[in-house]
Amino acid sequence: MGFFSSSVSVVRYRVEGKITGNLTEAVREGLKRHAIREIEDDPAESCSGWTSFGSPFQPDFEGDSFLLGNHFVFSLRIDRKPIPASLFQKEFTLSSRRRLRETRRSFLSRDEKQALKEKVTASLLARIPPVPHVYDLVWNYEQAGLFFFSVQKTANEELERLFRRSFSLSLIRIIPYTAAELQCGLGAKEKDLLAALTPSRI
Amino acid sequence: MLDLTVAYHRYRFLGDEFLTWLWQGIETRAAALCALHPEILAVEIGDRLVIENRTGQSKEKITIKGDHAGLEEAKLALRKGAWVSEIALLLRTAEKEYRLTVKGENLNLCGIKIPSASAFASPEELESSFLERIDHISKVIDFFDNIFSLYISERISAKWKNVHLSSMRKWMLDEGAKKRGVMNT
Repeated sequence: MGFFSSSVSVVRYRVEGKITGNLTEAVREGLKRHAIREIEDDPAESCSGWTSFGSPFQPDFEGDSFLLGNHFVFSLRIDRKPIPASLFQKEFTLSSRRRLRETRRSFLSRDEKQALKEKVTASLLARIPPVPHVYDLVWNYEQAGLFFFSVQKTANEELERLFRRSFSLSLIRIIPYTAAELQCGLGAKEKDLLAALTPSRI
Repeated sequence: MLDLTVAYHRYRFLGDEFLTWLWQGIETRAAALCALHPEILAVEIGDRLVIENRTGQSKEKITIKGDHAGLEEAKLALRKGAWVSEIALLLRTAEKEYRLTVKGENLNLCGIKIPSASAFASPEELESSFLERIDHISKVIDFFDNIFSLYISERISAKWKNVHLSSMRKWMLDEGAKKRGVMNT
């Protein structure tokens, strides 16, 4: 679900760390360095990277296109090439028969089958178009907060990984404990009380 | 700070207790909760409530759906040791209303239904639509953070067991008494 959907789901993060130097330039550099690359004619199975908010199929981080108000706004794009099992089975069966005919043998060894599977997979990956998945995010640098508009586990894990690589900053997911520890203004003594909590019994 | 995975499992109960506390709060002191945000005028339970009991070996889960669904079964489950694990909420301001679902285990805010953004064609209109929409989302999140902070301050206070938990117990038992009264008449 994107930011402009009629219904949005949000996972919240605390951004740990600070960027030194020119903030906007550093963010732009991180975005450009890890921008999504196209894998149309590439045997890669999947690819992820940053793309532009509002134009996810033409990433462009020039100017202030990723700045809206006080927020950095861009999207995580994950492209995947799902190979249908039935298609793989068909290609593998045809390739196996062809190989047997060419070699005039009645069976393939385990290693030959494995090599053939890899060849068929690579051939299919080079021909299948990738399916793009786009997830919007809003980063308020001053408040060290980030809203990610997807609750999908894999998308969130990829966000955390790519964000660290791109900006050298860590994302701490807001869950009950981190919400209490980081967002409730607790002092040291109160944090000790929080850490000592155990489940209640009504 | 604790490792996130450890914190998630060890303190998962905080989220479920919070949602149960919130349900009681909406029924018994909604005005005080609304006062935590200058624009929120009303907060109500929405059309979905999920109750889970993890005290036994097997997990029990009750889902109650529907705009006018009775919550008696859910309250009965609370008395047996269950907690709210998911709750749909309806928030109202003077001009708008927001619907959302909150999950106790991770505090994810799901399916936030907010007014449609204005159409945009130019970058200026995109920015204007973005700011309009992020304002709606931030309002919901700010309100939610404020009530979570109140919950945490009560949860770690010395009065939790004898005042706040006791109040929740009374609320549940009162509901039980009410229900028995209705059934008897």
